[in-house]
Amino acid sequence: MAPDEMKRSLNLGKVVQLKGVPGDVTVKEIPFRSLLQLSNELAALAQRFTTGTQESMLEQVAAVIADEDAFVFLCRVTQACSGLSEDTLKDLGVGDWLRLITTMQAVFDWEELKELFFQLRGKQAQPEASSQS
Amino acid sequence: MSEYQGWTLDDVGNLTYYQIRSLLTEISRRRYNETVLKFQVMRYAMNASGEQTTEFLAALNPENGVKPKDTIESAAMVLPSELPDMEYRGAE
Repeated sequence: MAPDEMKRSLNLGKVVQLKGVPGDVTVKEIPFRSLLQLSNELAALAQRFTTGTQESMLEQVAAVIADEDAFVFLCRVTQACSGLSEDTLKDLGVGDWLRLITTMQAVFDWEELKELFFQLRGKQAQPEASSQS
Repeated sequence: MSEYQGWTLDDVGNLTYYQIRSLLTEISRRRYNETVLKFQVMRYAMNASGEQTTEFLAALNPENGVKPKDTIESAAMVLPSELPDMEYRGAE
């Protein structure tokens, strides 16, 4: 088995350092259970972030952070792949978000997500908060 | 005897899709009873997201020649209401 395949099989993820979080943060692939629950969020975010220059990425990150709904989606996905708490995420600066999102783009297999899971969006049950109201 | 015996739906749900796919491939290669785990995955997907499981399964294993809808209906008839972990004990 190739080293990359082994790493992915063990879901070792990638380590990133953030100014707003002491120590290392590991970004891993999202577990199957969470993937099913987050297909809407992932699909929405995939449309907001395209690969490009660091400058254009920074603009995209700033735009998502400024969009309340998109930021909620971003926090949900980031929590699922990094284990960081919501409070921690809300305090991160744009530079940290850029590092996190760049790492997530490297860790996730977006083509696979697009092919297999994005088609589920819109058919999911409503988020817990909505279903409980 | 399969080393995967005793896995629950929670265990499967905590794996990544890549890990599940790798697991199915390995089980298939070793001629273990892969069907049970596939059904576990299907049932998990059905519980979590309902109708779209058909689409998910089609993507999961498009080359198997089995219509996902038929497979799900067969699984629903075969499986007990509780987790089928015990069925792993019949694997090679």
